[in-house]
Amino acid sequence: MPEMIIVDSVEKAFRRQSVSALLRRSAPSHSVLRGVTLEIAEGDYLALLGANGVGKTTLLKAIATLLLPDAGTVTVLGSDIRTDGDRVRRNVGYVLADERSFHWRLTGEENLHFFAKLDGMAAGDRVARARFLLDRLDLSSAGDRPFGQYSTGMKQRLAVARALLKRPRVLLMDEPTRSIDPAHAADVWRLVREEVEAVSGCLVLVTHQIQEALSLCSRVAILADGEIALDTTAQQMERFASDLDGFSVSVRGLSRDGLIQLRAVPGVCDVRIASQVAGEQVLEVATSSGDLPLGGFIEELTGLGATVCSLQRATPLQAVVQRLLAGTPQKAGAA
Amino acid sequence: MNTASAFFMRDFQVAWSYRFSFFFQNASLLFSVITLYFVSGLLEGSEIAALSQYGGDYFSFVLLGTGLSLLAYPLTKAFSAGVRAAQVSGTFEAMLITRATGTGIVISSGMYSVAIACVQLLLTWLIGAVIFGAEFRLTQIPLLLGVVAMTVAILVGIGLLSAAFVIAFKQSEPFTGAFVAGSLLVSGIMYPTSVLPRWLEVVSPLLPLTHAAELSRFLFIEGADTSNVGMHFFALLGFCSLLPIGVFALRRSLDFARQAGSLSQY
Repeated sequence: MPEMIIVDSVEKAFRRQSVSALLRRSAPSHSVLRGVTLEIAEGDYLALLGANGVGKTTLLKAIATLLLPDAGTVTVLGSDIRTDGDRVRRNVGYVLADERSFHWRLTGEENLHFFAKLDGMAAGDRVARARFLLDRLDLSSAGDRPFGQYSTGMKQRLAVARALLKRPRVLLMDEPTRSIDPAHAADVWRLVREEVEAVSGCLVLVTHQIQEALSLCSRVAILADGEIALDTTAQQMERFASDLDGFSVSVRGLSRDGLIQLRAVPGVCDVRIASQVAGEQVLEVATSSGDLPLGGFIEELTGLGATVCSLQRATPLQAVVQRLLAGTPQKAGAA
Repeated sequence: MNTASAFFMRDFQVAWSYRFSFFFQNASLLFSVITLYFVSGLLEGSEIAALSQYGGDYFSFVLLGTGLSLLAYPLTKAFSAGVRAAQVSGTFEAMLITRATGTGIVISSGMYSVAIACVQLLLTWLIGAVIFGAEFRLTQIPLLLGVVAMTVAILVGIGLLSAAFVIAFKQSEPFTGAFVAGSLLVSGIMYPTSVLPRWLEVVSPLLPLTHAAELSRFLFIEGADTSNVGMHFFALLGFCSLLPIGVFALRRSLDFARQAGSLSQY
């Protein structure tokens, strides 16, 4: 299969940006990508995994020409993002992580027409395509409602519709189903598969949901320490994840020391902080398959003075990643 | 054209969604013209030396100046406000991954405001001339429209420089506000520049609105002196170079933000 995206030795560091920093030229920088090399071929469904802040979104933005690397090259269908951005953008559809990225006073359909027009689509095609996508994503009855009245899940589905409007051969999706219910998520993936196959394209999916990555993608790449630490098949990953189970829990008021006590709860293999936003921490808890020690875990949490905000069953991504990087399907706690 | 029409339609749809404001935004224009008319009535019949080169009619004088000043704020702020709004709502990156160019997106994002400001300018002059009898040379309308077009080009250039600053430094700049306030003070919008103290009068030629106001009055007011038209025309033409400078700065700022990875940051 011909290569559609070639990422070659890409490096990216972010500098503090201000007038004074610009004048000093030696502003402190934070290196995110340190020589990422990746090739994605026609027909590839690639899940890009990694912890928060490792540069997954940065890499997608570079492929979409929204960001230029400090070193290395990115080519999409033979066009360099630096010198031929216009040609690249013709072929790239991107579901941004920010589902608010629409005009709130316009209806869903008006929003799609606006973006289709920017993509140079002809009037007839614009209307037909928008209606088709709204219909397929169960948004046709909400198409004439202002975007501001949409639920988060509806906003995310509209973002998927926008990315598919121009029938892109390269589809980039950044946590596209984060807030979509399972039934609608299944609609999204069915449509995405059909669209990618229809144009002989490829998909790059950033997700934190292992089940989603395994059910949709044939290939998995793990970004760690600014590099592609592992590029493997979904089957291989499934093998490493098969005996792992767990849940993610959002809490408030948990100290770092509390993690040690939580790891000691019987049945818990490992506990990690997956993300931390505005005082709320999302804990990723790895357990042995079929054994969810929820009662004991929550009792320990409340004993530590933490408040539980939400909880859901999920295969612990970081534990699987650790196993994959270690190269052996070992117990999560030993990783 | 697709980009411009997409933004024009979007901004019209947003404006239409605030119907009360949409219909009444021009009512204030009428009240402004009425106010100017009554204030001018106070000066009627008196011989004011400073107004003699403009034909002596204060209403015509102030109507042309006030009309041009209506362009200053919207045109210099429209583009940076468009960028800022797009960054805050998260639509900026979504627009930049379409086939439209970054420069085209930023320019188009302000064109509705530019068009509305131009319509308000022409309405102000039309109401003044038709209802309140401002003494204009109607045969000079094409030349006057030429002055308006040059003024728009200059102010859009300044607006694009402002947008470039916002994109590059992720903060709004203080210069256009100072430019607009300074222009209202020393460009002879409400009064001839000859009434200013000498040290302020020398500053006024450095501002494009001074030349736009002078040129429009000399060309359009019945009985005005036309001997200095050439000088103001060439000064205004010189200021038109701000437009390509603005476009260039905008391109560079977008490249800079792509390199810095800060397109969506504000």
